[in-house]
Amino acid sequence: MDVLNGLLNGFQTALSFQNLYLCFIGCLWGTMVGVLPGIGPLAGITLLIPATFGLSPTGAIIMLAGIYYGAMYGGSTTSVLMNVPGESASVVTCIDGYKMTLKGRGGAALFISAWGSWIGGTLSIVGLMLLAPTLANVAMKFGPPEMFAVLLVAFVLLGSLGSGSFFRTMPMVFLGLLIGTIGMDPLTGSMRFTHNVHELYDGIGLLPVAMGAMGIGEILFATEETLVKVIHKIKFRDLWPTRPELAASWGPIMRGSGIGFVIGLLPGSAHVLSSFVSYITEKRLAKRPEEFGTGRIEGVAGPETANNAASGSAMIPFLSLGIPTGPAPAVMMIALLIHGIQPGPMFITKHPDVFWGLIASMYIGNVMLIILNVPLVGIFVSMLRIPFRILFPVILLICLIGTYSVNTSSFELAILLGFGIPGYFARKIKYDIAPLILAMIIGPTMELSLRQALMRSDGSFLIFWESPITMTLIGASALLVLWNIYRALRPTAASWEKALEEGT
Amino acid sequence: MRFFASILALALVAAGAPAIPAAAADYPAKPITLINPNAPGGGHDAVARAFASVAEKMLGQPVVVLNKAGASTMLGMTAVAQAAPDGYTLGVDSTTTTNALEWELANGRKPPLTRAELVPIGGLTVNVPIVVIPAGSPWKTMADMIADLKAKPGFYAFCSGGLYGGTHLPVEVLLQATGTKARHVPHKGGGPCLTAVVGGHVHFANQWPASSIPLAQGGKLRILAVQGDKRLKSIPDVPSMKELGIDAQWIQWLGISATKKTPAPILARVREVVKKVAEDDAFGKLLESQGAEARYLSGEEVARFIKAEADVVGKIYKVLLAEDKGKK
Amino acid sequence: MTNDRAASLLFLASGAYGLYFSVQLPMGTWNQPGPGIFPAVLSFLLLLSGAAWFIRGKGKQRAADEGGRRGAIAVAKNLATPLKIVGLTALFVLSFNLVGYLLAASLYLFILLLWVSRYGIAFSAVLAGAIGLASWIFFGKILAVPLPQGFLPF
Repeated sequence: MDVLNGLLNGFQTALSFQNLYLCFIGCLWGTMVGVLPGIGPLAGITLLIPATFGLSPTGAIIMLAGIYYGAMYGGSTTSVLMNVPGESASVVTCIDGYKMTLKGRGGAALFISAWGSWIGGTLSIVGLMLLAPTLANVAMKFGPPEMFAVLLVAFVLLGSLGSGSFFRTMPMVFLGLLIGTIGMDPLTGSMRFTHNVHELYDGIGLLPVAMGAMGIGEILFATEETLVKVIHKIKFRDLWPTRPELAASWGPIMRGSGIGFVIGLLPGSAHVLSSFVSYITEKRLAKRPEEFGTGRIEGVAGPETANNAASGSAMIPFLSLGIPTGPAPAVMMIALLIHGIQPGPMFITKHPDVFWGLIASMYIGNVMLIILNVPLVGIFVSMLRIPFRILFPVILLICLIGTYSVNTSSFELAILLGFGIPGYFARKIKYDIAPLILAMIIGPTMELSLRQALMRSDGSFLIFWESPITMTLIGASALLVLWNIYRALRPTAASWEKALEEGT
Repeated sequence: MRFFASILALALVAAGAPAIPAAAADYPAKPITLINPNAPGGGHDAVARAFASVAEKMLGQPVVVLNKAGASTMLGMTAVAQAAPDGYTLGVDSTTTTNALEWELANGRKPPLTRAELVPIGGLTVNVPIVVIPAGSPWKTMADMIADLKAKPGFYAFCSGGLYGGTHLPVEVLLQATGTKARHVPHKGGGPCLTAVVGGHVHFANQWPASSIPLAQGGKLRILAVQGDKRLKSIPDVPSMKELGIDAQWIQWLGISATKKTPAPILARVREVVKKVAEDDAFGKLLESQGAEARYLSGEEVARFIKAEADVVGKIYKVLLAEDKGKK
Repeated sequence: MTNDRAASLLFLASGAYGLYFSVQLPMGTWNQPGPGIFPAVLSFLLLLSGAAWFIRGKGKQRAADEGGRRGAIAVAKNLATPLKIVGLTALFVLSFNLVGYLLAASLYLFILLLWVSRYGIAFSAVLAGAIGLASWIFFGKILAVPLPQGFLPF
């Protein structure tokens, strides 16, 4: 077997002392940048590129990849404990994760998310190893019409994300989509809603909005009443998930692995999209979907698994074609180029040592990460014992540094603060802000792919009915809409209002 | 607490604590900030970081790369223009900035800075786009492609990594030189556009050699021509536009600039470093691996480049904007 | 006025703003969709959903949306602390390019601890200085994150 041989050789490479050490440094560094809000895998990798100049190419990519998938482990920490999304991929984790912390189950949420991350991460490496060249070709089939169809499904699902009613969620979704259109229109160069402010030309950054509306909003809300008392009392035995919690998270973890792996192949914000599709899937499948948003373990297990699975498959187009689908793989590709290695269709045959060394190191790295992260859960959770009136200035400061560091600009801080205020009021009157943020993510790509598709087909909508992929996806979203209407209409006239209230 | 201490210790090892210079001349006496107006991860970022790593050895002071992306490099370059004229803030200047400024002017908007506020110190690299088509395309040569483009004006579609960017303008130059028309489908970044070519979603594109050549070697796409005056070393059997008799050359340069009023001695010192880096072997190899070429250009040469490309780009923008108006 | 109505006014205002500016952009054609069409449709939908919500917000008290129906007074309560924090943060952001990160951050923490958390002067000063310095070393030196610099070297 080719794969077996390759893998054995890979393990030989990866288990050398130096490569093990580099893998560990990468994972540790990744966990750290993942935990710190705002400083994501991209910044982490970019900062360490100069350090890789003196290394072997295999060692360099092992370390950088470690940062990349390691950051997804750390991302859930601040989301669960403080409602501050550590990465944009962890926005969804905030919804149920933070509620679990308020109930005193924060430790369990973090434990399950580490566990799910490990399974999702490992399964996606298996997929990467066995299917890389095949899947890369499938990914190339994804043109604008297919991309639009995927996002259409996501859009239809968005309405059912919030914990409130469907009608309460929809304005948030539209507002988020509208915010996403700010900046230069990529297809015509027209400026939209920029009012000659140059900082707005590239649109409003996602992370400042997410951290502001969710994190800062939550801090402002919490300082209202709970300043003097310790907010969360946590006993040590509460750190571990209970048997029912473990049992309930099996399904989400397995489904999350699959969802994350498939969506990770798509270009753009695959991590965010995968976590959010996983969340909605779990909500749809749940016996009591109305309990989502109140602290269900399924709402943490699924998304956190999915975003780790996406890290594995996001490396497929980059390794087997040399086409990075996101900024972090793009930086890794440059690191390989610096060492004179060209990722591309010939990469696996020309440099089997690098490819298999990387694959093997990813298995090892994921094991290191779970060993690293489980004790960290205890440490981070016990940080909540620090009085909140000392903790909150520190969290604020970290949010500010993280936001500033992305682009060294005070403008992003103004956005952070500017969205913190509405976030605070939304929190106060129990409006869900997550749908707005997710709409901001899918909006620009959705518009772009729709318009690109129409430009290519010369204005014919038939382009969306040409490939089996688009047919299936558009059929699915139509069915979802019909199902929503049916659920709304099914009850008698007397309970009509009530049905709307509960939403879909 | 011991745990955190060990994290810190490891982090220090990993970050490779910057070397402390033994002795420094008058300039530079403190670390230099190199503002890169592009987002981390692009080709420009790799060049900037490679330059910084070589330059700091020559200058004996750390050269810190600071990404300040936004408004297609205008935000970062504005920061360079507004920095104190002491040589401690330098900027990564390129054709992209010219394109962005000309676009603002063509639309009658006031750009945040003008070329006059910057002084080019020297050029480091030049990069020439290549014409790529899907592997299954019927076109065998550039002549096939132009004949088809002429036969069906506006039928064939091409993609770019961004509107009026470094991979869109060369196509417009080509189309105007051959008197043809094609439909433009802008994508967000070079990656998605390459995907569109490989997947056969568009008919052609002009892309950078770095990412395209491996795909061509793997049989995922084909290369018809190099949009410059000579063939590329890495693809010796692909003809250049000049050979083919098409007057549609395009060059993307990248160099180092500072704010005007920077004292001449400091400019001279930096120029010396730029020249040395551009002629450095390791730097040349890195650029070659990306399909670009390390070539030192003096400040005056860069200034001429800028003037020439501003003219060309300005004209293209006028034609395109007039066409857009015609459609409405 | 209920909270839902207040929120719907915000949606209506954003929708009106969006519609006003997006109709000024070219709408394009089917084969060349313009930059205006997407935001215009969205603004319209936002207006529509905002209006629907405004009308529904009038309804009687219901348990499911209890938060939304609480009077506007409840929202206006306890604004003092959040207001202080927002104001101080804005001041911090405005000042750090002038005096540099280390000084601005320490001062910011000090005032927060003293004024919002109501610790004593000595305790606040020591803690603020310690956290400020630690964050400067950790982010600025170890992680090499670019921090704002003033006229001072730190």
